[in-house]
Amino acid sequence: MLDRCFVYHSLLPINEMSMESKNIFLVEDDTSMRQLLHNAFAEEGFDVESAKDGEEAIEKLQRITPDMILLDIILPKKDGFEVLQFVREYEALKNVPVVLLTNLERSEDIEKALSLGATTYMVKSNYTLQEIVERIRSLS
Amino acid sequence: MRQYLKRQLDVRSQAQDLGVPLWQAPAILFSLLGAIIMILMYLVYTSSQMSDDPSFLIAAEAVVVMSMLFVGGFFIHAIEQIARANKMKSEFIAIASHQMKSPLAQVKWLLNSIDFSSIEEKNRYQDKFGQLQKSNESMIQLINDLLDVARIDRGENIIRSGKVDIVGMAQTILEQYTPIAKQKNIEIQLKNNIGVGAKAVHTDERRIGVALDNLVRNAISYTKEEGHVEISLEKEGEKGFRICVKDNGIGVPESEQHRIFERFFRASNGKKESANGTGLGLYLTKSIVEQSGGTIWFRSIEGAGSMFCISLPITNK
Repeated sequence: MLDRCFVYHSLLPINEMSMESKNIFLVEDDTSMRQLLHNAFAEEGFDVESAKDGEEAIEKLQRITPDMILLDIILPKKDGFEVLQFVREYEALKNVPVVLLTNLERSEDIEKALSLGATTYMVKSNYTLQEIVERIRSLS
Repeated sequence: MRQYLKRQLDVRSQAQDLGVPLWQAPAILFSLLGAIIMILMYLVYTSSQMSDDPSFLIAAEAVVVMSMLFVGGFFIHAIEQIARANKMKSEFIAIASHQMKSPLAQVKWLLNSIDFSSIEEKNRYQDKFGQLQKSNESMIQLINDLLDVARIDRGENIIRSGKVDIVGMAQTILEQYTPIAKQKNIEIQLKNNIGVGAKAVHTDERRIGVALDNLVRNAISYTKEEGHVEISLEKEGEKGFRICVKDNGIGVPESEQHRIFERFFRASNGKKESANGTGLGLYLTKSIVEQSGGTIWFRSIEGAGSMFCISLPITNK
């Protein structure tokens, strides 16, 4: 058994080996957008877990520790800023990179997000799906 | 009587358009009427023998002043209502535009993720996909512009201060517009007199990009075939630079030049030349430049061409 594991792993290129273990947590309220992002990341070999609102996100994040969090700002129940604040105050998640993926482009929102500890800020309509995936890959 | 009612209804519908509550339209009319009667009474009595009585005079003056205040109060209230309606309109634009951003982003993502399974398929559909992408991008741009305009109307600052490689930006815009200019046989060139690299300003990259893009797009749109468009970069003293876009196009009629930066304004000859355009471009451009601490000015002769220049502060770091 041990031998088989060794052989299996040694056949994979190093970057694919490390990619396999990457977990992404996606918080997005728009169903079709969530599906699009989910599929795009799953296709690239990420493990994707998602939540449709702020409360669900906080509830799930207390049970799992992802390698990266992708967060929308305008969300029902609790908004992205509140989720971000929770993540930064929660011991197990304190150092997990958080990428804000949103439609908001006001400088106040961007500055608020960065001051609350977001790793980076991306405006959805300014990027293609591939660009977003590439950016996340480079950060994870 | 019927005519009065009809007029009253007109006032009502106009008031409704402006966001003034219905009950206020007749109230304003009646108070106006009241004030006129008071003034007439005052005039009649002051010219008669009763005007000798000082206490009556004071009472009459008080009535007039009070009715004027009453009318003034209503007008101030009505103006406030109009301002509020205007603010609500801006907010509505902002909310509706935001709602449109999500589906537009999804269309962009989907269009970009389509793979063609064969060369034949690619040859067959590539142009159509290119056009869909272009339309989608211009819709995203329009939404972004509307959002910016709504924020400017609310008195907000839209600029996110940062450094911008203005030379690189001018080159990108030149590359982007060269094929479009070529379709109209317009020669487009960049004259850079401030050197490469090192030049950056304290402003917002995307917004300055929008400003420059608007000027170049206008220059190409309003220049006839075989025309000429030139983008030039010049130093302006030690701490500034100037970027100008010059064309030999249709120009702006002199009688309309003072209105060129107004929101939704489009010059009469421009409307004839190109049906596209919202009249937001130059308004937004001016706001962006001014919020970045710069100035914008232009010179134009109808039938001979236009030159728009933006001056912005510069840093050498």
